This record gives sequence, structure tokens and C-alpha cells, in this order.
Amino acid sequence: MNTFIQRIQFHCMLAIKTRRSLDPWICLGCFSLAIIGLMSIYSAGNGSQTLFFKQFARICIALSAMLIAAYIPPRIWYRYSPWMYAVSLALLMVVLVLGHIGKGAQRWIDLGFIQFEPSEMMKLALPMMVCWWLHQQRLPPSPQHTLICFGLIGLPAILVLKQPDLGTAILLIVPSLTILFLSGLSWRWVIGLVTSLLASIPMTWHILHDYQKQRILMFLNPQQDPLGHGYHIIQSKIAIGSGGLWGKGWLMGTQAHLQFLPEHATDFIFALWAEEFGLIGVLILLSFFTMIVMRMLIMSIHAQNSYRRLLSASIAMMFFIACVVNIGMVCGILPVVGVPLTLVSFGGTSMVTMMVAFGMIMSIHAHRNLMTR
Amino acid sequence: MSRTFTPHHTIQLFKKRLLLVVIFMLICLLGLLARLIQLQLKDHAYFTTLSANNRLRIEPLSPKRGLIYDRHHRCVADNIPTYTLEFRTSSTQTPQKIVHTLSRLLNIPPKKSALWQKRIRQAHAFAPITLLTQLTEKERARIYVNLFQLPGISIHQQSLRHYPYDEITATPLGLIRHDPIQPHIYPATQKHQLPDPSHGLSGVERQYNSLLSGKSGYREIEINANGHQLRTVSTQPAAPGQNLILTLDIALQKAAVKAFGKNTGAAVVIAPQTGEILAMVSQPNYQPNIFLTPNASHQLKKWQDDPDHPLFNRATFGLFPPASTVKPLLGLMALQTHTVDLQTSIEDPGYFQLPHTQHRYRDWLPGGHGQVNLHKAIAVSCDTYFYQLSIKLGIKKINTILSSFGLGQAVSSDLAEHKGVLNSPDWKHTHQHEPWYTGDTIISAIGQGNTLVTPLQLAHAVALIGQRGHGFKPHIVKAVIEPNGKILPQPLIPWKTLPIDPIHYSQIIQAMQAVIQSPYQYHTGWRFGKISYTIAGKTGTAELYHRQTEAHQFVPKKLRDHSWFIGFAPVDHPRIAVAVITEHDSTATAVARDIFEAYFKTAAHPDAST
Repeated sequence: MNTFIQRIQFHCMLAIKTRRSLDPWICLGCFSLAIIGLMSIYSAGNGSQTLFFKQFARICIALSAMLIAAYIPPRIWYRYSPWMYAVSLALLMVVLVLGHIGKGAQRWIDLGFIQFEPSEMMKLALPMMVCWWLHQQRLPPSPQHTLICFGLIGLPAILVLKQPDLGTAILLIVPSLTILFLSGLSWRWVIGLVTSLLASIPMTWHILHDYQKQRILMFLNPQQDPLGHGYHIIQSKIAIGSGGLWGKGWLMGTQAHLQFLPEHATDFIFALWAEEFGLIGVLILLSFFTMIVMRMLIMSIHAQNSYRRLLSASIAMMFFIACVVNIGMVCGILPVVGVPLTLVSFGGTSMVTMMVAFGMIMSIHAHRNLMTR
Repeated sequence: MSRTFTPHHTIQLFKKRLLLVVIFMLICLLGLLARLIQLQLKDHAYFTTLSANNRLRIEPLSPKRGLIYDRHHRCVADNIPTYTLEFRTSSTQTPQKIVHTLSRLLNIPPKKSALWQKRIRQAHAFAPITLLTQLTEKERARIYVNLFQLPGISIHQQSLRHYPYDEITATPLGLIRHDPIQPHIYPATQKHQLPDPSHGLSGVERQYNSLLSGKSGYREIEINANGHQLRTVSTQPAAPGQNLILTLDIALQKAAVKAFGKNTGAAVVIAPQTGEILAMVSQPNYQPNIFLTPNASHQLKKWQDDPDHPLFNRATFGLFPPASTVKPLLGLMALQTHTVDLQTSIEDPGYFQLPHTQHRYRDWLPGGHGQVNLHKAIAVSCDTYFYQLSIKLGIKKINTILSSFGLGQAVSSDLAEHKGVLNSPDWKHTHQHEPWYTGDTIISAIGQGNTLVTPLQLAHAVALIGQRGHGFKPHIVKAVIEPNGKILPQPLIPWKTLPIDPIHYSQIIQAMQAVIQSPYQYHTGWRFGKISYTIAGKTGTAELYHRQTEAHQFVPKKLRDHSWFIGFAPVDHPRIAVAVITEHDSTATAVARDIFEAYFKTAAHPDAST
């Protein structure tokens, strides 16, 4: 009984002590992005309020998830990393099997009352696993361990690519490779990796799905099919370009409102923001992103051990890549992949995942002076 | 369990690598920024245009075409509304059903209904198609009442040109181009490049098109990606065309057309004191109101293929040899240059021969007119006298007097016309690569040969004779009514011939009077008969082929000569001058007589004005 009360006392003290789990910079950044998102969603809704309130609710849920994640101490994350990875991998395989049965693109597991996307879970589980693995070894990792890492990364990546989900695959591969790089992978490996990636482009071209090929072709020359596949990019560029320096004003974006810009609430929300608030608005948005990313990188420097350092950096990288890919796609300098803009796009699971990741990194940062047992 | 010990160098390695990662991130960021700056600053104007082009469309607003009145403010050209039925197929899921309902409502024959079905299948989704033009009031009522079950159907109003006097005023007014009635929507960039609202093709409608047509307005509409019109962004109202008051007198015009009957030819009636054109006729004629009926293009093609060319304005573009009508002018020149005087007379044997030649230039009267002086020569149209005179004058003097009176040049101030041809050594050299022969001068004296004139030119010339050399350029528009209602009279442009003694004028004019009423047996204007006013004139016969001695009625019509009559009345202070030509017929004098009679009958009327 006593020990039980003692335990509760201890945890409460811990909770109070870790009040400062919430990093003000990141929170500020998140709130700002959320507000930008809400403003854009409201504009995208064309006056209809349902979209706005839905987004508001989802932001609340996501922020709560972040809060909860922030209070979970990093050692818990560490302990359960391999488990999470294994479970995610299994679920991914289940998804693949279900997809085979259903003969279609499958990303969800439908549990009736909830739809569950294993690839989202993998977005968290994979970096955790790689960091966990590398933490066990002496850094920089030896060639065998590196190969094991490739296996750890490659397996879920292939499963996700088979779904097919190129966007999530990028968000799995790039942060994980960053982890390897940051752990001190020898330059020979890095160059070798890059060269083999480039060399495999012709081969990957063939295994790409038709629509993915189409997307790359459209990226290279959208005017080829201005009313079909090139439409998104052309309209998006028109929206951004016509915003100019100051933008057309909130709720005055004609491209979005007159239905010229498709997906204007989700993947292409950036174009709406750019159209309505111009370059100034875009710079404000980018500054919040930069603030968050920089803060996260600083946090990663102060982390206590390899696991925490690498994990923090990978979360920063994941967030960064998500933003760059989305904005690049909307501007027409990257081919279209389905990556939403965190907190700004009308979001669902990916927002929650990212917020949990934010919570993790804040938790890591909060625990930097505490000795973990 | 995590390790609590981390080797120092691992952290250093991490920091070093992190720096590289940060550099990579910065490069990506800069790349994005560069792209955004390119899109939003450098290419901003380009994308703004594209954005506007996406969503803005221009719908032109047609201006009201100016009305045209005759000199007594009777309307001769106005606009009437016409209604067309349009269908926008994108507005409904079931266009076939709509068409079916429509066919039933309007009693459309099944063949036409099937044609409609075919057209809606082929139609572009967003452009409306015209199903019916010139809806009757009953049809419109039926459609309006049933509009609720006809989504996508709309009735579009437009103006068509209407001529209250139809073919009577067709010649002077001309035609306007009728585009098929299609609604046009243009991209936003063409705001200031809208096409002409309506376009005159001939006559007054063409010459004054810029005043009459007004300026198109536009309605700037915003559309969404589906092509649906959402709202009007801005409107620029159309500026209506200005109204015109013509110099034409409808009563006289009617009489002139009636006088022609079935003859082909042309007539121009001018008021010599101002140069105003009171009437202009060209026969055969056409009915411009045909364009108000559905049959228009079919009929238009028939007119275009008609060998008698009803669409051709003979009054201003028809070229004919002036024939004997030039004789008074030659007489004036002869008197002025003292080549002959009134007493100079010759013996006319019925022909003229150049010395040392065999060829005989014949007079129209076999046997000749006997003793002829200038007065008689004009009255009986003695060719021999003028053959002789031509040698004495020479072609240069002949052409000087002719061009001084407007032959061989454009005479009017506001009509499109043909300049005609003055035969001269230069002209012959340039156009026919032939030298000038004396024979050319001889036949120039009787207005044959290469010299060609239009009826307008001769009317102007005879008006100048009536004005004793001080006249005005013929014109058809009396005044322009400005948008604010102010009436702006058109300036009269004077025409002065080369100076000729008034005595000579009165001598020649007396001779011209003798054409119509004289003691001479063969005065050529005898058809005039008894009249209540003084009149001076001249007849002419334009030869088509070298005359044989056949009787006239055995020559096929197509080869018969044309006949001219020019004249003015009253002799002192003339009020009208007329030039008439009838093709392949000798009835010009009779036609002219009817015109003069009509004028003086109404001239006696209290509200007739000059």
C-alpha cells in the first residue's frame, strides 16, 4: 500500500517536474501553423463551416496526442521501440494481404469503429527501431550493422511502396537514412548509396505504377496534358503566382474559390495560402517551419544519448521533408506525391502521427537533465 | 535499458554530421524560396493574367445601330428586336429530354427535331447552341411559360436592321453584314478588342459605318471551373450609333423607282443649289428586309448569281459611254474658246469624212440635218456638227471641259463611286498600248469610245450646267444627329468649273431647252410633250455595237443600245437635276419625264422643301 502511494507520489512529482515538457518554441510554432491552417481551411470551405469545425476538432485531437506523448518519458519509447516496429511490420503485411484479397490499393485496416493506417504507425516505429538498433552498437556502425539497418528500413519501405504509397515511403526512407548518416556512416557508404540510388533510376522507372509514371511526366512538362494530369500543377502555379507579394486577401483567392484549384483543402492548401497572402504570407509560414525545425535540431544536440539524439534529429528531418516535399510539389519543382502539409492541410491520421512525434521530441528534451534508470 | 555513457567522439561526429544536414536543409529551403520568388514576383504578371483568364469572360453588349431618316424626317432604316432560342447543354444531365419537350411545345417537325438531337450530341459542353431564330411572339410565350421544365434554355434578344421602305431605299442605303446570331464569350484579355458590332457592306450603311455602328460594350462575368456564370464583375454599357438625316426625299425616290418599271438602268436626282442627292435608283433591285426572314442566305445567293446583278449599284458604279450628253459641254468649251460662235453653221449631209480618207462617220439621221448651227446641233443632236467641232477643239480641250464638270473623277463627297474613264492619248497608251488616232477624237465628240461615266457624274455635270458653273459636290447625308440630340449639318463642299462666260451658259441652256421644246423637227426630247415647267436637257444613245440599218425591234434586247436623259428644271434657278440611263432600251426620256412630273406635282405641295 505504502509503496503504491509512494509510486503515485513519485509519478505526480514527475509529472509536475515535467510540466516544462512542453517546449514553448515548438508549441508556438504548432499553434501558428494550426491557425494558418484554420484560416486556409475556412477560406477553402467557401463559407461552409463544417470543414472548419472538423479541422478544429482534429487539431484538438492531434494536440492532445502531442500532449500525452510529451509526458511519456523517453525510456518508455526506448523500451517499446522493437515491439512497435514488429507490430507495425506485421500490420503492414496484413494490409498487403488484405489488399491482395480485395484486389485494390489498400492502406487501412478497418476495425469497424475505427480505420487504422499501419503505415502511419510505421512512420514513428521505424526511426525508433533504427535508433534503438544503432544505440546498441558502437557508433559509427560496422558494415554488418549497417546492412541490418538497410534491412530494417527496406522491409517496411517495400511494403509501403507496394500499397502503393510513395509519399509515406519517402517519409520512412529519408529520416531513417538521415539517422544512419548522423550516426557516422562512413563516406564510402554514403557515396555508394547515393550512386546506387541514381543508377537504379532506370530500373525503378519500370517498376513504377502507371499513375506514378504519369505524375513524373506531368512534373517535367505539365503543359502536355493541361486539362488532365497536368491540371493540378498548372492551376497550383497560377494560384501561387497570382498571389504576388501581398496576396489577394483572405477569402479572396479566386483559384481556390472558383474550383480551379483541386485538392485545395488538403495537399494543395499551400497554394491557397500563397494565393491569398502572397509572398509575405509564404515567408511567415516558412519562418514558422524553420523555427520548429531549428528548435528540434538544437534539442537533438542536447539529447543525452545516441538513441535520443538520433531520434530527435530524425523527427526534425521527417517534419522538414514533409514540408519541403509538399511545398515543392505545389510549386511544381517536385512531382506530385500525396504528402500533406503538417497542421495546415485538412488532416487526419498524419497530423496525429506528426504531433505524437513532436511530443516525443519534447519529452526527450524535457528529460535531458534527469538521469534515466 | 539505456546506456548512460556516450563516448565524446560520437557526439562530435553527430554534431559534424548535423551541420551537414543543416546545410542540406538550408539548400532545400533556398531552393524553395527561389522558386517561390520566381513564381510570385518575377512571373507574377503572367500568372495574374492566367488567373484572370481562368475566371473572367467578356460578353459583348451590342450597341444600337444608328437610325437613318430622309430629309423630311421619315425613318428609312431602324432596328427591330429578334429573339433566338439558345440551349446550354452543360446545364442539364438530360439534354435530349429537353429537346424533346421543346419540340413538342413548339410543334417542331420531326426532321428538325432529329437535327437538333444531332447538334446537341456534337455540341461543346460550355458553348450555347442556337436552336431557333426569329421566334414569334406565340413561340416566345410558350417557352417562357414552360421555362421551369427547360433548364439550360434561354431566349436571347438581338437587333436586326429593318428598312421600312425595303427595296425603294435599297440602292442608296446599301446592305449590312449579317453574322449568324451566335452568342460569343471572349477571354478577359480581349476586353478592348471586341469585334465590330455590325458592318455596312455598301451604300450609306458602309460609308457612315463608323458613325452608325456605335461602340460595343461588354459585361465582364466571373465563371468557375465548370463554366457556370457566377456574377457580373463589371459592365461597360454600349455606346449607341449616331442617327443620320439623308438628303433623300422618299416621295421622289418612290416616284423614281415607279418610273423605271421593269426597265433596268439607273437614275440620280440632285438638287443643284446644294448638291443634295434627292433620289438614287438602280434597277434591278433587291429587298434588304430579306434578312429578317429565315430564307436570307438562299435568296442572297440567288441575287449574287443573277446575271442582271441586282446587288450592283449602277448609279454610282455603273459605267456607260456618255454618248450625246457630252455635246452641251463641248458646246460650252467651243464658245468659251471662241472656236465657234452661234452663227457658225455647217451643211450636214448625214456623215463626216476626214480629208483623204474613205471612212464615213455617220449621223444618226440618214441624210443629215441640213444646215446646222450650234443651237440646232444640240437640239437635234447632230453628230456631224460635233465631229467637225472635235477636230477644231482637239482632244485636250475636250477632256479639259469634261473633267472640269466631273467626268473621269470621283465627284461626291460621301459616296463610294467609280471614277469612270476619260479617253485620252495617255490613257490609251497606258491601258491599251495603242497610239491615238484622229478617229478617237472624232468619236469622243459624241461620247463614244473608251470614255465611260456613271449616272452620278452626269447628274452632277448637268446640275453644274444649271448652276452656271457654281455648284456643290453631290452628297447623300444632310446631317448627323449627335448623341446629345444636337443636329450637326454636313458642310457643303463647293465645286467650281473652269470659268465660262454666263452668256455662253445661257446660249447653251437655250439650246438644251430646245431639245425638249423646239421648232426643230427632230428635237430628241420630243417625248416630253406638254409640261408646265421650263426644262433644259439632253438625250443620248450609248451604242453597244456598230449600228446597222436594221429596225430596232429585230435586234435582240441584250444588244440594244442604252439611252440617256440628263436635264434640269426650272431653267432659271433650277431645283432638280436628273440623269437617267435605261439599259438596252430607249425609254430614258420617258422615265425622266415621270420623275420631273412627280417632283413638280409634289413641289406645288405646301410642305415640299428644297
